[in-house]
Amino acid sequence: MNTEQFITLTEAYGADINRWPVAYQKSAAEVIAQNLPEIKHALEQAAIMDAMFDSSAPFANPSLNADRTLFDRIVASAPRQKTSIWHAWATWPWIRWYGLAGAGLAGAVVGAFFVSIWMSGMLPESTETSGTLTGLVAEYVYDGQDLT
Amino acid sequence: MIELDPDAELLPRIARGDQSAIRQLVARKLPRLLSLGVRMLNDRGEAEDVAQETFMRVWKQAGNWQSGAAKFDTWLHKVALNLCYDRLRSHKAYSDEDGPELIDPALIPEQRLDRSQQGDLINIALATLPNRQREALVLQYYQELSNIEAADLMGVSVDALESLLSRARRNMRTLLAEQGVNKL
Repeated sequence: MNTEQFITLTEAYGADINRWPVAYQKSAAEVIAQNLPEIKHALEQAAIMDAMFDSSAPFANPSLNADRTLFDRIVASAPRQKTSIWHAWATWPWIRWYGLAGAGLAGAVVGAFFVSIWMSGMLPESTETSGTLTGLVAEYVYDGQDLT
Repeated sequence: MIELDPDAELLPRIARGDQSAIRQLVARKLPRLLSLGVRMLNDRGEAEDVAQETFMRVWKQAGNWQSGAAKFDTWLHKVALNLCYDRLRSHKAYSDEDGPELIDPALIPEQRLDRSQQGDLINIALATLPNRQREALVLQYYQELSNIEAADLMGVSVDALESLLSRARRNMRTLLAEQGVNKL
């Protein structure tokens, strides 16, 4: 690296060569070691700018000043843990009892439903039979009427 | 040697809704995203909005993240920068390299200058830089990305990045000298 290249890089990356790309650091250190006045001047100018940049901090301590409400809001917007029914069954005992009670209740409702269907199926048959009997009776009555 | 991505292991856990991983990532990245947003937009409220939107993209992407293609932090910066640029465009304040090099300091609110400390003056000067110069300076100096990462994010060569950085520093020096901030 020659003096001109060093000055160009100082203008881009600043005075602290630890903040320069790693690939430049070794040769930059060799240039600095030459102690040339133009190198010293370039470094001094860049150091002033670096110090100014460092005085600009959006927050005194970024980690502490990230607003807690904002943090919580962002965390709340994240996907929630996916919980399977079997995992819940194994994890929470109350779910087992409610599950059993729910299954029993559901079974009772379904049973009642089928019974009602069966019953409603029987009733028309019963009515029809009755109708038939009624017809027979009517026929009998009619015949009886003929006899009389 | 393969450089390990320290954030990559959190992403599959986040996709499964692991609250510990979610909190860890937010704690790790939120200050960086706010810092980026504040410096790019010069507005804390807008920076917060950008940070929130960026995390929404993270939640969507977490389950599909492929390690090895790009570092998560670089991708995160890309998302946040795009959101910043969307906002800058919507403010009609967008100026690229073809625009004026410097905004007239008279446009900076006077009362702000009166009560400003030096750090505020730096922020104001930074806000008046052309966007690409500001982006280069923010990514390389403040966000401490490598020159390759910053150039990649900006879609320019490393040489072009260095040119933007040099111009940014020169303009900052001029702007600050106009404000009477010559040295500390």
